[in-house]
Amino acid sequence: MTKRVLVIEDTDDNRRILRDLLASAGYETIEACDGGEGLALARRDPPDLILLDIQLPVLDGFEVARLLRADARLPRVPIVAVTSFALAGDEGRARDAGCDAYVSKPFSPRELLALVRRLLPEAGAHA
Amino acid sequence: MAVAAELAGAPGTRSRRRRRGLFRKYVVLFIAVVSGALFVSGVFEIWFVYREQTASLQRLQQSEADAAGYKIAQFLSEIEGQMGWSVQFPWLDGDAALFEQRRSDAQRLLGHVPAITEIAFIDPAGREQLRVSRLAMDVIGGGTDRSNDPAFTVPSAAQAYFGPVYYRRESEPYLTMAVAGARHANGVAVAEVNLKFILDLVATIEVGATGLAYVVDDRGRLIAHPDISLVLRNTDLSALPQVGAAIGRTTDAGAAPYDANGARVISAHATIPQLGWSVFVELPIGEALAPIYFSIARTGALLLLGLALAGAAGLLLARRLVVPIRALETGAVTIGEGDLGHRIDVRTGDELEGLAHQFNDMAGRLQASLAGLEQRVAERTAQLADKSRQLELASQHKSQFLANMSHELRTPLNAVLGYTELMIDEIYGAMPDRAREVLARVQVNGRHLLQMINDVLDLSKIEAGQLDLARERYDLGAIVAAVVSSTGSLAQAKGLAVTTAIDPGLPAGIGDPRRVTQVVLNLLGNAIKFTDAGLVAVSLRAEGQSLELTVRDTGPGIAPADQGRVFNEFQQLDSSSTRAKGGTGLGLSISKRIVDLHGGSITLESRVGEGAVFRVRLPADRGETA
Repeated sequence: MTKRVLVIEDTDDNRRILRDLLASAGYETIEACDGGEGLALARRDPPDLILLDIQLPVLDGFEVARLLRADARLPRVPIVAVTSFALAGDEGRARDAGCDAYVSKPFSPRELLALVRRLLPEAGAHA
Repeated sequence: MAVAAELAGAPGTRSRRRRRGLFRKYVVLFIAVVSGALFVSGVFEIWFVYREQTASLQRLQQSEADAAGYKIAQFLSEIEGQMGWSVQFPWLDGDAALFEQRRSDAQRLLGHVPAITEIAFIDPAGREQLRVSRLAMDVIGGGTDRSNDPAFTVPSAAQAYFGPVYYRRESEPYLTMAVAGARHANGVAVAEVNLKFILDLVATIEVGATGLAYVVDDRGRLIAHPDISLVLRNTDLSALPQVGAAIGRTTDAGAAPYDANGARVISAHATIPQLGWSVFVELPIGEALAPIYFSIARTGALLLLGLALAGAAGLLLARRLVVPIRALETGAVTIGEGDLGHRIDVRTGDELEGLAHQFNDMAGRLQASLAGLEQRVAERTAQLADKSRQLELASQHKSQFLANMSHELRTPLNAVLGYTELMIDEIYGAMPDRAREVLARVQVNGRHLLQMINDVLDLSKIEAGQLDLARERYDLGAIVAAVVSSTGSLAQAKGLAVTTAIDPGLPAGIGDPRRVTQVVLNLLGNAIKFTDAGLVAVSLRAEGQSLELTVRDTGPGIAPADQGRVFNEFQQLDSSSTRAKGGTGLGLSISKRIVDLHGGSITLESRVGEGAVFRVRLPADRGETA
């Protein structure tokens, strides 16, 4: 069964890079362009992993993570924070908000893919 | 004026000393000028008075001497003439009438000439025939043989005989005179002449109060002198220089004349031709100089008076000059020390008042221009403050703009880098080797560009003072280990060994771990970048209140002249190496700013060809270990 990854990212190019990367590894990608849409998608149909940009319109990444973690009905899916902030303490804030990993831009697609595979061990290998 | 009074303290002593100097100068100058003039004129006057006095006295005495000499010569000539009459007839033996004639002639001669006391007649054979005297009976036909008597042998028709002076009754000088007749037969008349006339004559000559006249004979013996006792003692005056010169004994006519007591005299003399006698008229020089002494005294008095006047005039003038000058000086000092409102009050109506005016004018202009200047400064200061606010605002805008722009720049660049890596990983299909190679170059250049953007942003934040550092405890040892591990592949690719020595039990650092990481990454990255062979050694230890990180490499080293520049912006030593090594030239500069902001220090030791050692000290938290 194909794992689904929710990409919440406001930049078209970044979304496409992530989609192409994940597709090449055999994952299914669901995309949202802002925090509100991403939150709605995650609630409606929980994915297997979320790649969450921090700097987002409507709701920022920290807020989205906090709201998802606060909802006890939702399964606890891994959340990877992807940020261009690179400010001191961002990683800590991301963890506090409930993220499982932290990747700062510019990220290497190769390394990101490695991280995703680590978080979703039992799937995608057949692609 | 209050200010002037305050100022009178310190400069006052100085100017008082100077004033005394001016006073002394003026007074001394006046006294010197006046007394010099008086002295010179006094000396000249004394000199001329002396010359004139001595010359006029000399002339006066000369005329006295000449007159006396003339009188004495006249006296003797007259006697000689009278005696001549008595021998105009021949002497005939036995002619009684003729004898009587002679006797009456002789008696008449005694009557006519009081000076002749006695007259005798000697016949041509040398026998005395007749003697007529006022003191004794006439002697007729005495017959005394006087043929060897000089009174008989010496006289001739042309030349009378004058015998030596002798004295009768111890006090009356006498002279024997003999006159021969025109013919030998007339015989000789011999008269004893009383010289009292000469004594009286000498006594009547008065020169000044103490001057006198005297007569000496041809051998210098005294014949007539107001003091008869000197004459009677047969005084010889030939030793006196003026007498010696007169009688021809010495030729030194220039010697100064003296009297018998050795005192200097003014001397004049006249010679009586018949006898070779000399009449001297002399005046003690002391008396002659009396008017000169008076003149000296007068000059001295004038000099003293002149000195007193000059001193008084000098004091007065100095006072009139110096008081306003001092006012000028004090005023100039007051104005010079900043009291531009001060005005100098000098009313002498001359150049000094003009000078004071100039000073006051100058002070006024200075005051006015200073006031203008202060106003302009105030205006400019306000303008500058305004400009400064504008600039501050502009700087904030610029920083905000840079931060935004940096984000905007990085977003597309991230996309470029992402796509490139996907293509290299052949996510979009198989890649020919050449294309993959080019993509790798795109990746390298893209990363370089990203690094530069980050550096410029960091630097602009630092410049704008907007680099906000976190202040938290961090584990520098962990940071170093992480950086060493993340750069491991780079070192490995160049075949460099990286050694790490981290002391155990180090205290935690205090500051911004992300920025500290940036510094460590920069130093280690540089060391690996610039070292082509050998090793890079990283060590960390505690040093007092600090953590000391040392990064040592075996690279080319940095020349001493360049060591100060490596921490400046855009000062990578060789711009070609910037491109070759992929740096921005900003890394060390940013690292230094970051370390400085932490209150730490970064130093460099290096020698060309022997590698470089960067040493960073960062503050440690002494509370507990990390």
